[in-house]
Amino acid sequence: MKEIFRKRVLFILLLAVAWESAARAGFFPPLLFPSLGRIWDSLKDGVMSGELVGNAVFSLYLIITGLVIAVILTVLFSSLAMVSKNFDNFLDTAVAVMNPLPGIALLPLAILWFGTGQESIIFVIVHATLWPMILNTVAGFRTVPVIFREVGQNAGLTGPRLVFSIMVPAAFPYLLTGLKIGWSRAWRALIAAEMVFGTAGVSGGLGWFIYKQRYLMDISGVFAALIVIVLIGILVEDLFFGIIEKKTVRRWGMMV
Amino acid sequence: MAGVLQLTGINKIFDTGKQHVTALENVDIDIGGGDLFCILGPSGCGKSTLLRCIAGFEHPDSGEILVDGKAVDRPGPDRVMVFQGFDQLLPWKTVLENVEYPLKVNKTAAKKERRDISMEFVSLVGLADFAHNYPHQLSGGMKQRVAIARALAMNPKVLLMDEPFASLDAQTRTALQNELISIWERFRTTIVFITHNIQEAIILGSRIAVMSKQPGTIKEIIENNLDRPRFVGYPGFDEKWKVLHALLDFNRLS
Ligand SMILES: Nc1ncnc2c1ncn2[C@@H]1O[C@H](COP(=O)(O)OP(=O)(O)OP(=O)(O)O)[C@@H](O)[C@H]1O
Ligand SMILES: [Mg+2]
Repeated sequence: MKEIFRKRVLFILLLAVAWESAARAGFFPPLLFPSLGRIWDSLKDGVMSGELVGNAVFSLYLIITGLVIAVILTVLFSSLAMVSKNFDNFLDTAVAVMNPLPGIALLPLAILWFGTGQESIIFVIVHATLWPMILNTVAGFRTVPVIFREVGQNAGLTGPRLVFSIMVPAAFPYLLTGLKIGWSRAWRALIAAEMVFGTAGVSGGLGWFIYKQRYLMDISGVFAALIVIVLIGILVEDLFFGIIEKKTVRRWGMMV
Repeated sequence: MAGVLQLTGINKIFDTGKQHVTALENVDIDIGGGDLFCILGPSGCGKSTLLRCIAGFEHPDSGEILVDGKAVDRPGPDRVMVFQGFDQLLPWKTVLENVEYPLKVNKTAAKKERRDISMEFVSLVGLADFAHNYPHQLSGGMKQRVAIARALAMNPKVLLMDEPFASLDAQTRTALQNELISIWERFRTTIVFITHNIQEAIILGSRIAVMSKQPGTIKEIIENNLDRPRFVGYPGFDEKWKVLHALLDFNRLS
C-alpha cells in the first residue's frame, strides 16, 4: 500500500515539474496552458466556495445511486441465471447485445424517456455498469469449484442460502473485478453524460462544471476539476478497492 | 449393532454418449453401527461413485440406500464426506470457522457452545495453535485434519472418507491413520473409508470390501479382526495382505 503511494507521489512530482517548466517556457498561451499556481488557486477557490465540492458530491451521489441499483440487479439476474437454464441463455444474449453499446449512446433515448433530470444519468450509469458486472458475476459463479458447493450441501445448505453463503464468497475475486470495471465505466459514463447535459442547460456534477468553466474560458478551473476527478478515481481504486482486496481475497489466499 | 447403513441393489451407469461405464452393479452392503468399513479397489472401479451415492451427490439408477432405516436421496449433515483433495476447506473462513460453520448452519447449539465444540475438535486433531489461520496457510496434512475435525464436529451418523490420505507423504499418512483410529476408538463413529492401498485397508478396517472394475461390483467382504495397533509384519498381517492382493487380481488390470 505504502509502496503504491510512493510510486504515485513520484510520478505526480515528475509530471508537475514537466508541467510547470512547459508553462513557464511560454510555449503556449497562458490562458490555454495555465501554470500550476493558477490551477492551485482555482482549486482552492472552487473548494472554498463549495462549488467544486458540491459538484463532486453530486457526481458521487449519482454514481453511487447508479452502482447500487446495478449491483442489486446484477445479484438478482446472476442468481436467476444459476437457477434457470432458460434465463441463463436469455441473459447471455442480453449481455452480448448490450455490453458493447456505450452508455453515452443511449443518452438521447434516456432523455426522451426520463427527461433531462438525474434519472437519465442514473439510467446511463446503470447501463454502463450492469452488463460487465453480470458478465463477471456469472463467470465467477460458473468457476466455483464443485467441491465448495458439495461441502455447502453437506453442511445442510440449500437454495438461496447456498448461493449467498458459498457461491458469493467463492466467486468473490470475480465479483470484485466486476465491481471495479463497473466503477470505472460508471465514472466515464457519468462525466460524459454530465457534459452533454451541460449543453442541455441542466446543472450539476463535475462534468457539467468542466463544461461551464470551458464556456467561461476559465481553463485553470477546468484543470482543477480534472484534478478532482483523478483524485477521486485514485482514492476509490487504490484505497477503497485496495482495502477491500486486502481484507478479503488477499487475506483468504484467493488472489496474490 | 446392525444396519446403520444399508445399500441394496445399487446400480449406476454413466453414459456419456461415446462411453458406457457400469460404475456400480448390484452393490449390496450392510454396514453396522461403529464399523470402520474399508472399500478397497483399483482405480476407476467405482469407489468414489459409491461414496458419492451414499452422500447424496450422485443418484443411483436403481437400488436403495438406507441410513438408520430411512431412505436418502440428497446430501445432508447425517452423512459427511471428507474428500481426497486439499481444496475442501472454505478459503474465506479460518480453521475454527470452517469447523464451526456446519454447526451454525444446522443451529446445533448456542453460539458460545458451538465455539467450544469446534475448538475441542480442532484441538483433537492437534491444530489448536492454528485455529485462527486461513486454509491457504496450512500444509496438505493439516488441511485434511481440519476436514476430519469439521466432519466429526457435525456428529454424523456415517462419516464418508474418499481416500483422504492418498495425496500425503508416507509419514504424514501413517500419523493421520493412527489419529483416525484413536478418534474412531473414542467416538465409535460409523466410517466408510475408501482406499486403493491394501496396507491402509488392513491397518484401518474392521471390515474390508474388495471391489472389481468394469462392472464395479463388490467381489468379497472380509472381516479384519487383527489386534490393534496393526503393523506390517505383525501376526496375521501378511496373510491378510495376500488374500486381499489375490482378490484385487492385479493381473487382470495389466
Ligand atoms: N460424472 C461422470 N461422468 C461419466 N463417467 C464417470 C463420472 N464419474 C465417474 N465416471 C466413471 O465411472 C467409473 C468409476 O469412477 P470413480 O470415480 O467412482 O472411480 P474410483 O474407484 O473412485 O477411482 P479412483 O481410485 O481413481 O478415484 C470410471 O470409469 C469413471 O470414468
Ligand atoms: Mg475416487
